[in-house]
Amino acid sequence: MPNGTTAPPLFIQGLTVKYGSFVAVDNISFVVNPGEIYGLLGPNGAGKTSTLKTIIGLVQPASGRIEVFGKPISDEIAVKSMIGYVPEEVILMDSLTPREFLEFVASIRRLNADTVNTRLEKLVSAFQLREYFDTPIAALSKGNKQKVAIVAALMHEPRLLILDEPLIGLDAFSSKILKELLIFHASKGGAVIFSTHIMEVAERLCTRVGIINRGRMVGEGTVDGLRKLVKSAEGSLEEIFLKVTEQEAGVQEIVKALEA
Amino acid sequence: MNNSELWQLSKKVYREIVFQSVFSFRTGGLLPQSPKDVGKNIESIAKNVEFNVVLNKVMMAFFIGFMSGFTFFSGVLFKVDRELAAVCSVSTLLISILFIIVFMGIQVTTSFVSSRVTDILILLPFSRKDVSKILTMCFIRIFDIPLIAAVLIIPVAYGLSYGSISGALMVLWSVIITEVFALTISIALALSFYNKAVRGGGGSKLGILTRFFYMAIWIVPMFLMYMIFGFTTHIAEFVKSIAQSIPYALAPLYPFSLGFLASLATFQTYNPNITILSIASSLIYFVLAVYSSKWLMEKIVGIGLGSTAAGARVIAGKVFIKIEEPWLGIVKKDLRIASRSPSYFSMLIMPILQTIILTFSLSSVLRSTNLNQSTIPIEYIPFSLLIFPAISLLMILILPPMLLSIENVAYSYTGSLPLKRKTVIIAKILLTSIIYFISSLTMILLIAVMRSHLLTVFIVLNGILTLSAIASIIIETIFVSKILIQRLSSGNIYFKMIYYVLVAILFFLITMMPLIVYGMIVLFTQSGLLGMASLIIVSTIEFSIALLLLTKVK
Ligand SMILES: Nc1ncnc2c1ncn2[C@@H]1O[C@H](COP(=O)(O)OP(=O)(O)OP(=O)(O)O)[C@@H](O)[C@H]1O
Ligand SMILES: [Mg+2]
Repeated sequence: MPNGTTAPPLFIQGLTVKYGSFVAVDNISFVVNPGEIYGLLGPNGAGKTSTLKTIIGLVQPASGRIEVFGKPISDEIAVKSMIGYVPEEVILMDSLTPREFLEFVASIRRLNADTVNTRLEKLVSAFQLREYFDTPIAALSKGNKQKVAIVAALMHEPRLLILDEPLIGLDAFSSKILKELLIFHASKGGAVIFSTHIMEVAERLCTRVGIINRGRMVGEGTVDGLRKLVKSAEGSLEEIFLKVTEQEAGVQEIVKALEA
Repeated sequence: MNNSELWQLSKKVYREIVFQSVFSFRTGGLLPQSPKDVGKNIESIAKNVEFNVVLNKVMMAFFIGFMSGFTFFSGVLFKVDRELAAVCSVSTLLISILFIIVFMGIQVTTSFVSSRVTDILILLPFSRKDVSKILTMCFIRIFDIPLIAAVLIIPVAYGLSYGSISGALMVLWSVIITEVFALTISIALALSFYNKAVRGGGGSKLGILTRFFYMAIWIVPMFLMYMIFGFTTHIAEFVKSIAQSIPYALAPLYPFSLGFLASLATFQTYNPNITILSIASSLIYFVLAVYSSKWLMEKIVGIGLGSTAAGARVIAGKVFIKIEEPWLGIVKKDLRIASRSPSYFSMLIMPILQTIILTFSLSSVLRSTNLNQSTIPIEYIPFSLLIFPAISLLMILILPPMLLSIENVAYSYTGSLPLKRKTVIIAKILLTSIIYFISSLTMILLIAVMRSHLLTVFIVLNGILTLSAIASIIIETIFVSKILIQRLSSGNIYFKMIYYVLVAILFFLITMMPLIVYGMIVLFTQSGLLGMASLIIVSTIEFSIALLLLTKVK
């Protein structure tokens, strides 16, 4: 049980999310420990985004318990202060510029001006955002919008990072930077949970992965652990993924059908 | 593709633009949590939007008809100089048409200018010429009913009331010139707001100028409308006095030169100087109209070729952000978003303009009111005067739901911020109160200039009202943030205007309460002093309750 100083960055037990009568997430439990990069994998519509949105408080859970560093998510302000979040579909305030947007976010988070500006300077040059700093967000490309969201999420050095498919849309350089940042963040004892479709990334980056399918957790553990679980020690994460989500046979058939 | 096919197609594009005008800010994250509801809602929203747009247009047309009938026939009714009445009413109508078309069209034109529809059209197998044609047709569709209504109704109404065909033809010509001006201005404004939104950053001098112009477009016609509806004789007197003392100053000015021309064509009484001046300047306006229609076409075609979005890069300054207290951060953000959205912006300055107009009309009522020897008992005078600051507060009370709806912009991101509800509420209350104080001060200043003998009375009245005004702002904001906020669409606020108005009226009662108590006490006890005392007590109680509620908010 999470409590006090030993509380894990993220503790989820029996989480169920419903949209009307439709069950999007079905009784999921998992823990993300300090120093871990946890990958949430699953086919489209599996319930990854719903899970992440519930942690953030954007979606209300039907049942289950979620704690962030031992604090229940009902303690909204405390929990949100410890989190940095990059949404799946980045919709920011279009008429603001990145500068104005970041000023807003930093003011809400009550950040220290000196610390944040030093950090911001580094982040903005790392993600090559400098030249867009005063261009309205509406006029930015998809990738640049995403970078603004990433900078906003990293600006306050959150202890838990929640990223929903953060690499989609980033160019090679920026995605390399982000990956390095995540590894660095975890090495300092921070925690990361992110959803992804890119198997190689999950395989190289994640300490542990959880695979969900139709709202259920169908496999969880380190990539090695999962291999053992599906008894195909040679397989890549991609194969494991297809196996546990029961899509493996399907792929062969569909490809054959398409070739015919 | 032939033109009728293109015309059909333009209908689809037009619908899309109207739809976008309502969803110009995407809310994100707040869709109802059931897949069935999502589909249903979007469909019904789309129908609702179309219905609202048609309704708006019909209302505009009706309004134009009503106004022209009223203006022309009242000009005949009141025993003022008929020639002068013709000048006045034509000029007033022209400027009002200009205003109505620009104002009502601004939201849709903005999304027309910024629509991504052109991106889609370009991809389809159309020639560039066709795309431009479709967009021109679309643009015409935005204004169709009101444009046609103005062209038909105004000359006919003029012809009927003044019994002159040549006059009516002159009016027709003037209306067409005015419509061209109106369309040009609305596109120019839309482009200016769009450029502000896309190019962003601090306002350039030209941008600030445009916005001042926008405000002027607001003030002038509303001022004129108040004069038409309330004080037709006053306006006639006013113009008469100006026309007699400085007719040469009015004749070259739009819309008066067109008004003089209509009057000349109707009565054929020539004052050579004015005739020459007005004919010459009308010709200039005509040439100007021709040029602006050319400019208009160029812009529309430009939009078709996607040239508006080009060059939207801004040279960035130093990477350094200013950090404020959270509430100030919200206020700043709100002001930034509001100043870049025409509908938010107009709502924000509306209360102040309203106050100006109200004070003007009040001051002409007061001209006949001598406090010591009026027909109504002295005890009732403060009561009747209090109505004015109270009414201007009604406009203010539309602000809290509007400002709260800004919180829905990008909620799918901002929902992840550690933002206390209390901070949000306090920010909105502060911003609303600031607007309230600005409009109160405006009223006091105007009174000081125009009716200085009433200055102290007004300062006291405004002061007394302030407590219950702030109380209603606080209570309303808390209520809306608790109950209504998710229903408020962000973006085009005119779309959900009914919510705003209903809420404002409901909480207006809080402001009215002390007044009602005052009236009752004075009625029963005949004591103005007792009335005043109860007024102060009731508003103090309201204010304390509001503060108490505010401290209870988490
Ligand atoms: N607001 C909503 N209303 C109704 N149903 C929703 C809503 N959001 C998501 N769903 C449904 O819930 C299920 C899970 O969606 P979710 O977005 O969590 O999937 P995901 O794993 O993130 O998928 P992807 O890989 O495509 O991003 C899907 O079937 C989706 O259709
Ligand atoms: Mg997703």
